[in-house]
Amino acid sequence: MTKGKVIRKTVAESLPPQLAGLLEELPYLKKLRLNMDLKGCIKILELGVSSPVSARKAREEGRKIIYAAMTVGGEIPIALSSPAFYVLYLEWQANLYWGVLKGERDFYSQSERYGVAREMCAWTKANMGSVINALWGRPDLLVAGCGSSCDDASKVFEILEWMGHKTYYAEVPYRRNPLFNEVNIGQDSAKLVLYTPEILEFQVQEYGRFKALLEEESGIKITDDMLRQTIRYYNRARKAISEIIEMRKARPTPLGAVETFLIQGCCNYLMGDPAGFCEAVETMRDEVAEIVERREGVIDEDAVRITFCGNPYLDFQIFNQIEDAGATILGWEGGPVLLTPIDEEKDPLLALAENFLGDYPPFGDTEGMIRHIISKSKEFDCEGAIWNVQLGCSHSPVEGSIIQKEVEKALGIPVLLTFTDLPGDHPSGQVTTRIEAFVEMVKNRRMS
Amino acid sequence: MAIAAGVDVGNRSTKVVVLNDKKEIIGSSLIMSLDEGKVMAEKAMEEAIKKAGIIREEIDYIISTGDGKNEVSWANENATDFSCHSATAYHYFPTARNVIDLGAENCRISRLDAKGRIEKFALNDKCASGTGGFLETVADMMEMGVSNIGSFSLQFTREITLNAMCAVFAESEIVTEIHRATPKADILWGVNIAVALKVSSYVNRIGLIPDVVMTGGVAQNPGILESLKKKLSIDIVVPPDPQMAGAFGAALLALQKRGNEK
Repeated sequence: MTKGKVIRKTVAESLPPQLAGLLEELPYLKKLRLNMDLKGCIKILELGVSSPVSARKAREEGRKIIYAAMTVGGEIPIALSSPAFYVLYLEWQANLYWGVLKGERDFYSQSERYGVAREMCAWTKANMGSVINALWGRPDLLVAGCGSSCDDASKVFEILEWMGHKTYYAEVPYRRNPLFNEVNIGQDSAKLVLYTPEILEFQVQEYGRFKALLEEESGIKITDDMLRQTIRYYNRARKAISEIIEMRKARPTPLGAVETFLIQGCCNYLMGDPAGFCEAVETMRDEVAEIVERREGVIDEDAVRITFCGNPYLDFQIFNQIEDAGATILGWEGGPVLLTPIDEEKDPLLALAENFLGDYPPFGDTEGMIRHIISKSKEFDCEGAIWNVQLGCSHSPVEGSIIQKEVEKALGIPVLLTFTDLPGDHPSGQVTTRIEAFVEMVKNRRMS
Repeated sequence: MAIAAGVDVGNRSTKVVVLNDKKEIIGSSLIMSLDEGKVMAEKAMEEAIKKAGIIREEIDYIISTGDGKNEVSWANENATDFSCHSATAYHYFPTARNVIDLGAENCRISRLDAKGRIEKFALNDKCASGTGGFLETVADMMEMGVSNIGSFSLQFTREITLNAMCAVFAESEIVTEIHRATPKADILWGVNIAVALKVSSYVNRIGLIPDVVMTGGVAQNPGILESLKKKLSIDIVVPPDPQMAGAFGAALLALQKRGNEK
């Protein structure tokens, strides 16, 4: 059987001439290998680029602006269900637009004026910088995940609240089942008791508290029908993305890692435009199916299969570096992203709580992450895993060292820890050296 | 007769080794990296083939390595420094399990299996202490040649402790010791111990298993070698001409590749 055709396109090579302005708007894009032949990809980037205009328009229409951060559960779907709010997920929108793609650095350092350490995680600093600079207009409400999130980020929101920003703290339990180890000894992964009834009840109450706040702020009731409509959008997007991830099992890998990562991260808040985002990822799914049909791809068929994990990632060049070294990322953890479907029939708040608690915890106890990484590595037959640490994120190297040992022990595959900084003009040589050595080592293991 | 070459475009110097099919060195060169990587590789190759008495077309396979490996467009392929230094270590010492490669700006540690394949590796983060570049700076501060500081340091009479693990801060500590009129040999031995501590922390990440081989330019420094032996409590062996280990290993891999392709 002949090998599939490998086509690797940079943004500059594939961007349609009529969209050349996109590169002026987002100069960092030029540094990435990202296939802009895909209409779905262009739509995603256009949604990102147009977000300041969309936010301004929403304001003119009388809608309120919500900046959410550190939350991957039900809060954003609930907010998106109300016509009274325009919702942005700061970690993604701020970093993707201003940091990663536009290459702006100033808003990272804004927070230093308020006592936030220079060494702190750039994502957290970006959250603060976005609010201080009102990049999408002064927010009417900040929604900050706390508890099972990041303590540094929570503190930053406390500072912002002290500065006069109305802030809602979304309480997320660190351990969803306090007796996890005791009750799950010897259980199959499918039968694990991931959360207790008390925690579920607490989560539903929390979502109810948030919904009530939004209704009070806007004077508009958020009905079950409104919530179900949003849930359907989430399910549409998650289904399309899951299908894309499934299709990436094809050889050669039909879609690059940058594109795959983008859609997963943006799925958490549907880019503030549920219908537009669903249309974009469904278009991309159809295009990927055609690529698979043509047996084309972005990397050689014998590429080393990698699970990519860690939190968070600012330098998207690392995905290109991994592919350049001869590996393809198939399993994913972090981002953060949940892709399991939400029940459309149940009480919506209960369905959102069950969906969140039943999936793996992108924040929180390491055991859940380990289980997720092992599961994804098995599903995609991965030969190694890479855990990335963003400079300044204090907890991820600690998590990484635990995960490295546990995943190596459970699967017998090596786990590499990489450390990335803010994106520069060129990919980091230190990171390249590590990835190349890792891929070479995994290839050598094939011969064992 | 097959001929293979390895090209190591390092941060400080570019090295080329040409081997015949008996794994004998028939030509080699080492020039300081003062220009673009591709220019230096070209010059080093010309010098090596001149010494070998062959023309470029007689070389069957070329592998490049080092930080500038991608600049060598005429190489058949490239390989990481880890693989090349490990190939050299395994060639000279088939019982090698740990390879410590200390170059101008990098400290790379590999753990090998019984067949010489890399099982695990570690390298320095954004930190220069424990590398040749740091030792060059120290030599300048002592107004000595870098090739002399190792043997001179072995004349130490007292073990001083340099607390700073950062190369920049270590420099200020060294200045303080100079002002205190601490003997040069004692200061240099203190530097050796600081480097050895740093390197042993990388070794401990992947596990210390004998036999331990040291390669790279810093392996020519007897002071560093002795301090590492002391800190790791283990004997360390050094292959001939350790500075050429990257290029020699690349040539070995090229020869192997050539053999596989036939």
